[in-house]
Amino acid sequence: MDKLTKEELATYEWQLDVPGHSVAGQERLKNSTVLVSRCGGLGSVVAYELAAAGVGTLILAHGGNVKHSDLNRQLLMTYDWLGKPRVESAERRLKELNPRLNIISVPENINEENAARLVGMTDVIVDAAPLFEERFLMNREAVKQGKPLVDCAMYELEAQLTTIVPGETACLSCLYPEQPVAWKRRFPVFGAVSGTIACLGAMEAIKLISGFGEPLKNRLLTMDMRSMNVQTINIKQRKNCLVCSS
Amino acid sequence: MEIQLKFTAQIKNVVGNSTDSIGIQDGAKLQDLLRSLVLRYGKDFESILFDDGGSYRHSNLIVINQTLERFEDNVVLVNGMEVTLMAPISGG
Repeated sequence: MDKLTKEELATYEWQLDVPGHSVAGQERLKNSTVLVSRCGGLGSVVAYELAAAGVGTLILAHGGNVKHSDLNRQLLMTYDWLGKPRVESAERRLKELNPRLNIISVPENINEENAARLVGMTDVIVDAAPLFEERFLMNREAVKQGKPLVDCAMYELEAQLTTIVPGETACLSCLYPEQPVAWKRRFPVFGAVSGTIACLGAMEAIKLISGFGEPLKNRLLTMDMRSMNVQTINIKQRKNCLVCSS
Repeated sequence: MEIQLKFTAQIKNVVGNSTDSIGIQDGAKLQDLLRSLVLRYGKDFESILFDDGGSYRHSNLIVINQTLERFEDNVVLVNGMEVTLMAPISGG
């Protein structure tokens, strides 16, 4: 395992004081790889926080070019990069913050062809895709390969988060055993909502890698930022789950 | 007895509110409650929760007092319980 350099010790000085984290936890972050599925409103902020915290390698999977309508929430996308690939904009912004960061840019969304390979390269997955098809695919691969998956989602002023650890917790298909019918690709969103749940999702990934705190295993955190109500719901594996049930 | 209700996402949209309450007979079960809610909130509500054949769409979460419950377990309700119906969300 690579040790921290002098520069890294200086950079992460304040978070090294967090009880339970320490130099050993920071070294685990440095030597870890996190796959972020889509760098949209949610995934952008997840990637930014993980880059700031000192995760060594980020795999960023996001297709398409930067559009005007990305710029209210996708904080790694910039005005000067309109019409150019989103992953390039993301990589540029993250490198400004942390030039030591190793980035593997994948200019496409998670699909049947790339999912197994990308999940195989990672230690932790953070899923922030706007389509259930992509989330179900990622969940299936994560369970198959035994990789922890932080699932973050939002809608309007609502947001939710859970941490899936294969073999220990309910998976996404335990929660949603059927294709949701009411979900639409275009959803109402303020960047501050996706950014809020993204910060919590990033913290889940950090806790999993460093090894401190209590990740949201078998718990679904829900937030309503209209009323500022927050709760955690106890969830459990579905006995006949087609993905994770043995 | 009185049951407190909460709704999220698309279910909240068709109900028109995030909270409500309903009085139902003592000893009623979860599925009795859902049938009462279909009568109260109408077709759009019903089509999110049930398919054309009347089967429950299991990707809508039912949370009772902060614990996820299954439709098929049809738990007995108790006065004052809080039942939340959550439509699945995937926004990123």
